Amino acid sequence: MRRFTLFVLLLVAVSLDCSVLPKLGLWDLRPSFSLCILVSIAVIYGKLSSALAGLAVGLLLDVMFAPVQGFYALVNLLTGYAAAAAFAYGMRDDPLLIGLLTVGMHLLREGIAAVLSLFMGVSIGNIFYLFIRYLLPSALLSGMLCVPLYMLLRNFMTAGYMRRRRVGLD
Amino acid sequence: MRFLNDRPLLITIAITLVLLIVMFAFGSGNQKTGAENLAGTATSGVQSIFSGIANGVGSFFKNLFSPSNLEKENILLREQIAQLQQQVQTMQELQAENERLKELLSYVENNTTYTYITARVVTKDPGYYFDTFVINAGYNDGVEVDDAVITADGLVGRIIETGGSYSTVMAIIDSRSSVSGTVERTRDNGVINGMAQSESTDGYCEMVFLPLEAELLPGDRVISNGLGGVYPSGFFIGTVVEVSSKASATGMTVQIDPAVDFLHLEDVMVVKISQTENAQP
Repeated sequence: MRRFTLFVLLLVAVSLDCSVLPKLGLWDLRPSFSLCILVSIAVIYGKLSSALAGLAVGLLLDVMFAPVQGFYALVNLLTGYAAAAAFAYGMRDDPLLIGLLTVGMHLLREGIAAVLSLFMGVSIGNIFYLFIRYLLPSALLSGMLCVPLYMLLRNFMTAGYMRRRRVGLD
Repeated sequence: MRFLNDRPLLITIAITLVLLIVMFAFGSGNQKTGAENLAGTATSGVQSIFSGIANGVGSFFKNLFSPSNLEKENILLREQIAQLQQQVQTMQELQAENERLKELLSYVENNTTYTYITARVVTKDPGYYFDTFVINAGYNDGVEVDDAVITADGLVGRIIETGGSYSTVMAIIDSRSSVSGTVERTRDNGVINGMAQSESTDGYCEMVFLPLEAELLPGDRVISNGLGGVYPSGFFIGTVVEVSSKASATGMTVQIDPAVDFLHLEDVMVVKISQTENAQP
């Protein structure tokens, strides 16, 4: 039930990222609800759960948009794992720090996607301009979005039936 | 070798290797497999709902805060309809004259007829490196890979993948896209390539391989010429923005402003082409 609930949350987040946010006209900035949920899962449930959640998000995106199969799955798998690994190295459970972690993970995710795109021969243009105009502001928006979202999700994900049974995987 | 004891890390590395193999060995399929189709249909269905809600909310607030715009838009549309009706009348007369002249010359021609499948844009790629989006029509509706996609404004792109009830469209502004085109006024041929988002903040394309002696002017219209066999001929692509652009040994390059507003794309049409040979007596 916990996995199903998380999957539905991720599906809704991906839908918001792809169907609603592009219509809002945020000067072509693209914060990511799915990344916020991924980081929240990373903080609350650990490395394996966040890696697999990232894989699920990526597979959902691959079904729709993948330039090659596995592109977004790989990007989000690595981002999910990195989020949990970064948190495990001494971060506190502080919403503001989680927001900063989200900013970092957003940039990491875009960086991995850029590297893979370059390997595929896709032109990404002026990387510095891309970073200043699009990536950094989008990452900051994702970070700001994650703060209240994490506070909501933390209460939800650790309550009742959602509490993870410790079986020694992480 | 502490990482060997880190089970999540090992699982992540294993999945990464599998995904890399899948990515570079199998590439991208044109038609979805059964499992992909099922997942895609479910996902696109959910995203259609969110897209519909977002459109509805957006329209509500737009009409709420600017009702007078509707009246102005109404008047403008009526004027445009009147102009278009006049143009249709003129074209019908020209077509009749054309038919008479062909008959006189015993002209043998290939009649190309277009049919259209209308579809709605459901969702867009959330990244910055690819300009693709998904529409709610697939192979069950007659959509096939490499079908051209247009709107009333002009050429949008082509179908690159199909599912049962959805398809993925690669826009002409995608950096992987190439369209063979002709400048309508001068009849110079070239290739219109999409540009990376960081290279063109206004969503422009660039037209390359133009003759060095081509005399283009800002505002010149560019249309598809059908070379390459993917995009049919005669569809409006965009207008020339800058003429004093870079030239190289391979030809002149200019910037093109696409006719379609990709930021506000909602409804599109997939073009189906059928050709019959019609021999005139």
